[in-house]
Amino acid sequence: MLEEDAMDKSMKGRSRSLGTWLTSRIRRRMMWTPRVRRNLRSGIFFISLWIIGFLAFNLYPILASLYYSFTEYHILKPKIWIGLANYALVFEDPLFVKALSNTIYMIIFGVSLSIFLSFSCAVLLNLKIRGQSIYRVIYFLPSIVPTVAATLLFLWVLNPQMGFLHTMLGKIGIVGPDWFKDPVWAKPGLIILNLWGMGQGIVIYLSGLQDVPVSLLEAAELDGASWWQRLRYVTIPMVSPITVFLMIMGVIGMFQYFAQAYVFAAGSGQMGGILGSPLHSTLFYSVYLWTVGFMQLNLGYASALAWIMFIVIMISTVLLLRSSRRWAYY
Amino acid sequence: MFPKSNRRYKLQKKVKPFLQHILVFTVSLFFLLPFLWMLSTALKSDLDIYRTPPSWLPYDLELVEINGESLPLYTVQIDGMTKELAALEIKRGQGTFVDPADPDAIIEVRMRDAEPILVVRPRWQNFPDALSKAVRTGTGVSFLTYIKNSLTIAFFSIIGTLISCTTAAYGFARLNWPGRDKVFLVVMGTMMLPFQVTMIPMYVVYSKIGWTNSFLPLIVPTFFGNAFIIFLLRQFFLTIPEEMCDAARVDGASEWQIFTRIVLPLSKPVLASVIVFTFLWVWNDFIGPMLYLTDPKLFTLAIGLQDYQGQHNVAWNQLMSASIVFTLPIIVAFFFAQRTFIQGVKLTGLKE
Repeated sequence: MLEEDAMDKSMKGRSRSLGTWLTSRIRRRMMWTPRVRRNLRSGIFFISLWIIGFLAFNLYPILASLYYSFTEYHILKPKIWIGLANYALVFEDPLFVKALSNTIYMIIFGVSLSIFLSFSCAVLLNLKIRGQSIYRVIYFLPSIVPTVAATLLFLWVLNPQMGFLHTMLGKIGIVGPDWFKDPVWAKPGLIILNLWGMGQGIVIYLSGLQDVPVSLLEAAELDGASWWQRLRYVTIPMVSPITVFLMIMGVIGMFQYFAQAYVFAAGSGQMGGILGSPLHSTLFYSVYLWTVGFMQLNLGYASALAWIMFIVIMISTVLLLRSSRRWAYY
Repeated sequence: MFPKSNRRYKLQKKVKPFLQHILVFTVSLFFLLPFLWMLSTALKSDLDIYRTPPSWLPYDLELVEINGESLPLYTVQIDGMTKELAALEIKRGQGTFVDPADPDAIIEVRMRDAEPILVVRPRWQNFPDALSKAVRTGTGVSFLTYIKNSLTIAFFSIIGTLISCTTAAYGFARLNWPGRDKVFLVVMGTMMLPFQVTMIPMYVVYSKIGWTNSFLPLIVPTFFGNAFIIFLLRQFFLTIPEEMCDAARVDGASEWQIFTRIVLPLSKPVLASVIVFTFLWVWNDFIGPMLYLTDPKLFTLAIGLQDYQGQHNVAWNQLMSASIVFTLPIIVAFFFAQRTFIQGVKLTGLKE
């Protein structure tokens, strides 16, 4: 290993043409001790299953879907190369715009509400009260209920005739909306369902709250800071990296939001339901991608949609991380 | 100055925890009530689920024993008199009743003069009924079939994940080979890849080789590694003292022997976590089975449940009891492995 390093250093001083670089690489390989070679052999042996998996289940489908996205491809028919036409089609596709705006609606209202409320719940659960650990379990438990069971439960909870939420709202004088038939109320209904399962965000914030140094809070208190000021100027900045993380996860999650919307739409329509019903109000990005790919069997366009999704997720992640440098404290 | 503020301080010290508790309790109702509603519905009789306004307690028909048979009781209006009678048979708005006090006399009454007598009684029978009910006529498929399918996929996925991820994690944690860290970055990178990107080509491949409508597309990939699990296991393997492995190496043990005889036995807790996570993913997975399974005989619980809901008359009580059966294993697992769940949440989202 030492010889290798020495070799590397001596190489640095010389000219850096490709040829010398290559020979240096080859030399370095030749210099590998038997132990390094043995390690390489056993390393590759141990990760061999993963390598096959990476090639077959990651690399191949990435390249294939990129290729499909430049073709007109209906299953069982030959692919026709059409260049960027699928990507251009997006701008003239009213349903794409609808799906994207529905997803953005869920990100703006759903994700931010769920981040705000998870933080509030974490603050509540961090209070020193009796039965704290029981409350923590209660707040967390809904998040592990299987998605389909949770969605079916909420279809029943929000049922405009027999659901308990409707009845409770009625008792305090509010006539609840018809959550599944009214396109205005379908997304808020789904947001309520998401909020019920926000236990993960609560747990993550709670662990963040426990990491806020007590000395900081005490110093602020000694300086006469009120509870609100300590929260605003100490706690919230201290947990801001978690807020960034939850925002990124929220954006990714909303672009992949599928099962809830699927089951919800099936509940709103008669017999099986139509995806995105009522009136395309629950046609989210992944739901639309599914419809194009597996109901219209337009695999080329669906692949383009998947790539647009991937790119949008990447860009928003980078933008969130960049902008967070200004307001988050790492 | 002191006594005054001291009194206020004392009062605040008593009232504040109380108000805080009320607040925490009120918010907890939002999380708790849907569970209670699920349980209450699951225990309701068919008659009770469609009553408005709905009640929290499950009601059922009051039964009375006549000649060894339990019959439902009704209040019946006859000739301006109100009587409690047991129904023998109800057909087209016409009911045949008997008086429990005088079981031989049969009375015919129009049903609109009869009102069932309801008492609070949970209907536990919903659970076996929901599980054995044929969901689609003529296929002989029931919820038990779905449970069996979900368990089958979970079993093989757990085995696949254990084999492929423990070996890969060992390769990344315990062996020092050139390029290892760069390859590990690739592993982490695959976590970023949305399922939607790989979904379409994989579907095309699986339909070409005839794997659609079988469990193979759901099971086989688990035998070839999962980035999250590899990461989890690698982090754990790094905490095992290197000296132990070196001692074994000096004694002439091969890497495979070190892996199977030293590292794996020391990793039982983390292997339990891996089993729990894999089970959760398979149990909860919706889009995978939706994509590949078309024959109701192969449906998993996740898609079987929603299929049930698309029918004309949703039997909400049975649907809720089936949902409880679907949810219960996870709740039980949570109480046995709380730490694992919390750790999983902190590392990434629990649900994929």
